[in-house]
Amino acid sequence: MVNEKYFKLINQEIDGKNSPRKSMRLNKYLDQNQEARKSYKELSTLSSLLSKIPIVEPPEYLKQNILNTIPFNTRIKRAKKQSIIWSLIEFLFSKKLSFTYAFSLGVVAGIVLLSIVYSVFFKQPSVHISDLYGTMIINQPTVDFRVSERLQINENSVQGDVQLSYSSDALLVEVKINSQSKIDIDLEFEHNGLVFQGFRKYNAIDNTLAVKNNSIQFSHLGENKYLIVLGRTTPNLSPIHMKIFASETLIFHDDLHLLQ
Amino acid sequence: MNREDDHILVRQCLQGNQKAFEEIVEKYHKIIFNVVLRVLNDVEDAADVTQTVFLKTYESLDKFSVRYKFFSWLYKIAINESLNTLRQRKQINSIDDDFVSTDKGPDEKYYDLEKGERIQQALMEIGIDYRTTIVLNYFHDLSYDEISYVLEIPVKTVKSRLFTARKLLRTILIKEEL
Repeated sequence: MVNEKYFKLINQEIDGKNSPRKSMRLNKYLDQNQEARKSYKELSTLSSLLSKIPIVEPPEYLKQNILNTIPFNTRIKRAKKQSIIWSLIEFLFSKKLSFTYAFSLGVVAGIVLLSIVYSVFFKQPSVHISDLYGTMIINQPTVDFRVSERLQINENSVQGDVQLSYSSDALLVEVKINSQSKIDIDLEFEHNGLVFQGFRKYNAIDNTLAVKNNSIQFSHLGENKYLIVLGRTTPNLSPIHMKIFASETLIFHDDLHLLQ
Repeated sequence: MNREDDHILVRQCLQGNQKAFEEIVEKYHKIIFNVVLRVLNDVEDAADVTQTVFLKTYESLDKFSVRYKFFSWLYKIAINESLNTLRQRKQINSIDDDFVSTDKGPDEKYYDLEKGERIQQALMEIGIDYRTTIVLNYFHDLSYDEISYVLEIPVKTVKSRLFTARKLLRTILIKEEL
């Protein structure tokens, strides 16, 4: 009976794994133990037999069959995708960009550091809105219009009033009028002193509007309100002549004076 | 089997180089066929499993780690596929008569064929765990560490299985013969 410990040493000796010291110890044991010697011899023979076993040739078709089953196209497509992704990753982690990353990181770190320093040393005292008082002032002056003259219109089928307001650079003519029949309103002015800037009606009723250098004419029917804006180019102005015609017949006329 | 060469071939395959995988097949199909054949003992099954081994290898190439030798990884797939096939069929046929040895004279070839058959028969009589260990150690000259990686068992177990397998084969082959 071969001791299990020496059986292991025999196997390791066959595999060439024993240290010189272990080999020497085994040899001593083999010298003293005939059965162990026999085991060693048989295992060596077996090892030799196993090592000499021939390689078997595979069937001739095998290699081609293997290649036929391989889906090469999928790998090529995947490889193309991966190569694009890898190129991008390589570019992002390339040394060329390392300075950019370091610089960006430095800038971000600087901003964060400055924010911290500012918030600690230059912190503004917080004020509740209820603690605020005073008046809000708009630096830009508002346009100040003053009423210069008001006219009343009270003819047979036409009632209304007209107001002239002025500022340093503009005039506003507001016309509120109610007429049962169609009328034409004519405003004439000195063309060197005033320039037409705008016309607005408050109710969307069809009108005709004619603007000339020195006059504005517009038609009216029913009740409506009009605003005519005139730009002022000189401080002294002659009056605006207002005329109302019904069926081409003058039914009202008056002057709007600019009082200063 | 140069480790670096294999790793280059694998990288080329992953880059979509078909020729690189053809080179791997050329290099290893014979040896993988023999591993599988020694475990399964059937030529047709061995050819089928070899095909599957290379297909699985190709499909999982991106999981291969360069820390290992490529052929060890290939053996691992081959052994696993062989064991799967064995589990499925649960029966063992005798080795095919068409085996032809290489690079031998007529007499020697006959002798090796005879001996090869007897050894294969003896291998089929021992347990599958012992058989795979012997096949990897003798027919493919893998070290204890490589066998440990391929079979996913500790080196200590590799040694234990190898020594027991020898003992069993000695009983079957040598004691009857000598």
